[in-house]
Amino acid sequence: MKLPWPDLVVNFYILPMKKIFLPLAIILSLLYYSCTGENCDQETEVYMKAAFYSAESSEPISIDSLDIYGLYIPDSSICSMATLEKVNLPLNPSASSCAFVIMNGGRSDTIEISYQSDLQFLSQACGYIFVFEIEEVLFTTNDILNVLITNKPVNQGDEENIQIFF
Amino acid sequence: MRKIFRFSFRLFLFMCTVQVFAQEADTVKATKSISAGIEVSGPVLYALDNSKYNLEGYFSYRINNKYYIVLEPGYSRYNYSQYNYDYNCQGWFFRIGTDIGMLEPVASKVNHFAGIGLRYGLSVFEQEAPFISVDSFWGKASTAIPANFVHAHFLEVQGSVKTELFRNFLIGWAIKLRTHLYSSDSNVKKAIYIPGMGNTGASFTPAFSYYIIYRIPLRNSSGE
Repeated sequence: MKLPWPDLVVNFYILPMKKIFLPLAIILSLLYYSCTGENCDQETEVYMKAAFYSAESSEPISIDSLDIYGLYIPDSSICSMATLEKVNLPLNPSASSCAFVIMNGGRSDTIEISYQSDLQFLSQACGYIFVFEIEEVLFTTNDILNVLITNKPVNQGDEENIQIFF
Repeated sequence: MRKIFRFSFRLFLFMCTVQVFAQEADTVKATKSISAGIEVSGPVLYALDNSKYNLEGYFSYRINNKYYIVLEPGYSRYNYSQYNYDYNCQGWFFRIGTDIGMLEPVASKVNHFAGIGLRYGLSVFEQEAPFISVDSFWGKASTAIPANFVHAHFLEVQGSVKTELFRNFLIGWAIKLRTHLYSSDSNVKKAIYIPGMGNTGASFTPAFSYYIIYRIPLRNSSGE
């Protein structure tokens, strides 16, 4: 039995298409916007992780009354009168080196870090970040006795990058 | 109420029986044909949102009632902007594969199509990030990624319906799911959008297409 084409089209195709089209269009739109309109939920800050150690015992120690700021920008306090075992130091992506002043009970030291910076794409929602590769660390020895590089790549991970010995 | 239900159920069974007999009675062989068409949702969506422009064609060769060879070439342009970067890409692509029909080979359905399709896609495009800004303790760091060429490969699976509205003139739609196989980009020059495939953020990228197609029957040839 051959149906005339309008009946066939209406019964077999147009009606199912009408029934299916709207829910599918809604689902696909939601899927699309859920994929592209997402918020950035990843860590976008990248820090060099520094930890403090005793030069005598090589054990981790806390440093009291610690002030840290970027060299030549004294208002840029990273920490003030803090007691810390570890500190996150932000490297400058616009330069190949940067320095921090570490003050401990009136005595101060400067640590200068040289590095390579690389751009890295994170996600469409987050955009780009800079990651770093430490090349060299120079330091004064007023209070600090030594600085060791333990992990050259500086990225979003939690791995310690340098050890500062007092 | 129960009588109405019983009557409806019998009517449904009767209709099914009539349909089965009708299907068995008029089995036919499909004529080999070629089809050419365009995908219209791209230009329509561009009118609503001019960040994405997609223009693609549809060419198919019907081997028999069940199998079609399909080629879908196209051009796509994509611009994305947010507070910390801009991204642009544009390029050409094609998808090639097969459609597998699932309708019975009966006269009433032989010129329509409902089934699944599989495609391999290749995209060659240029991308750039002309503005990138990263906030840091030391201030804003601005940079850019210059234009660079990328080629990308992807697979697609789809379900589609195509209806002959007038003689040899079809409309239809397809729901597609695409997955990225390989691209020549890098961590820095990452492709956010691949022409012909879509956004690369998720493992699978859904897509929807709406086609207008003209079919040209090939004379003196018939399929299975």
